[in-house]
Amino acid sequence: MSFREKIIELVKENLENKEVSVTGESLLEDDLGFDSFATVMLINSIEDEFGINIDVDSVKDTLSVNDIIKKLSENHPEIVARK
Amino acid sequence: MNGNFYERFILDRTPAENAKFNPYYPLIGSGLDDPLIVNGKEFVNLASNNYLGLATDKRVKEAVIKAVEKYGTSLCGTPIATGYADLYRNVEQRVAKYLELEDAILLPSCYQANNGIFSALATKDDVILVDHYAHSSLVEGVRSAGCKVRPFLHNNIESIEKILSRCTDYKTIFVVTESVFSTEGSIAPFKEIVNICKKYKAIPVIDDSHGIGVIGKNGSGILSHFDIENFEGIYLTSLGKAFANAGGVIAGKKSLIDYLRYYCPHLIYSTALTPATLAGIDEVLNIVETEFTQLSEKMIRYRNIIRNGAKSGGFHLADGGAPITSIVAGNTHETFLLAKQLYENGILSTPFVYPSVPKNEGKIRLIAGANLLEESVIKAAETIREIGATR
Repeated sequence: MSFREKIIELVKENLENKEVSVTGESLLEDDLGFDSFATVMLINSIEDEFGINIDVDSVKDTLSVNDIIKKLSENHPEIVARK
Repeated sequence: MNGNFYERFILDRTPAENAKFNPYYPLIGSGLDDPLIVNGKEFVNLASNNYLGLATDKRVKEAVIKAVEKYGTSLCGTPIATGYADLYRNVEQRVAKYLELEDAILLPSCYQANNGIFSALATKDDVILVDHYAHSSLVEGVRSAGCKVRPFLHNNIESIEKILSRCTDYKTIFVVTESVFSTEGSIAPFKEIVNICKKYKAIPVIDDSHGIGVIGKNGSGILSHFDIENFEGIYLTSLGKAFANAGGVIAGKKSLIDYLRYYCPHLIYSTALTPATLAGIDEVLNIVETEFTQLSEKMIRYRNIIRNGAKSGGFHLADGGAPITSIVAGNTHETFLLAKQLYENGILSTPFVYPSVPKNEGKIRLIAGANLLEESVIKAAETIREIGATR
């Protein structure tokens, strides 16, 4: 599983409504119904999965799943290589 | 300078302007009677948390009047000072006994209980797991503790266990949820949560605000509902809903409650509940201990009438085992419009919109208290059905 696929899987895991489809283009708030707690759950899951600490402020302006992937790739390149 | 400051706080009136209706702050001109007077007109009240209909019960009102005659309007002090009337101690003890817990303290509101408990007990070395859809008072409470906060998926045991299995480096783990989620009426799988807390040595914390007086033996709430004995956690509740008064409760082990009597700032720096409120709670305890079964039957029957009306009208309802009917109404505008239609047809409802509920998942909550006339409930159900059928 690629890094991108893993992130999309973690996003799905943290959705209350499992019927919503998730792609890289999905907007966290508008398409997936993310609120602040959902974002915290996602960040916690990524931290658990990759054993890293994520600065919440670094992802608070992200709009889409692709934005999350981009931010993580920039701030934590080591985890992209790992998967 | 001042101009800039006030410009930061401009209320967004767009939703109310678009719907030509503001459902909030309705002006109530009567007690919670049937009919209810709102803005000078008669309504069927499906908006209050007056589940058992005791807010205007003659016996409760008489008990309150007697207490005011004996104690006056206030003891003008915090419980740790002059606020600890014999009436206060009696109600604390009665509430604890009713809940089958060792001890209890009474705060001015459940919001303060939910805020105060975490700032008094949690430290930076702890972690708090909290349900994704927990009430704002719990969310603010856990955030104020300054420790790691880990939300879990709503009512989802797997999600809790997955997080617990990773919480190895914390001094204390709290798992926080509500018994009855008030926007939808769902009941948390709390017995399973208590069991999983035992497995991982976590402290379960339950807010039973919409459970007390509603579920369990004699309405004593979630612990009784699930036959949970020797509860090792922390119990929080409101006395302003089915209990038809005001105030919040923190209950549990005696040693912990004694500690909170001296170290919970929300208790010791707030003026004590008034004698009127304490006497009202005392009388409600008398009533529920003897009449809960009849009141509950009525409450459930009314819930079913309203629910059947909404279903027949084609409304999509949120799942829930509590006496709450929750119509899934859509986005904020759609939710406001439905509340407006109900209002124009003499029904007062409670609309919930984002951020109180997820975006585009607005809900209209309907609670038919046991004090309503059956004919009013039947008429309201028919009106709801007609509104649904013509949408």
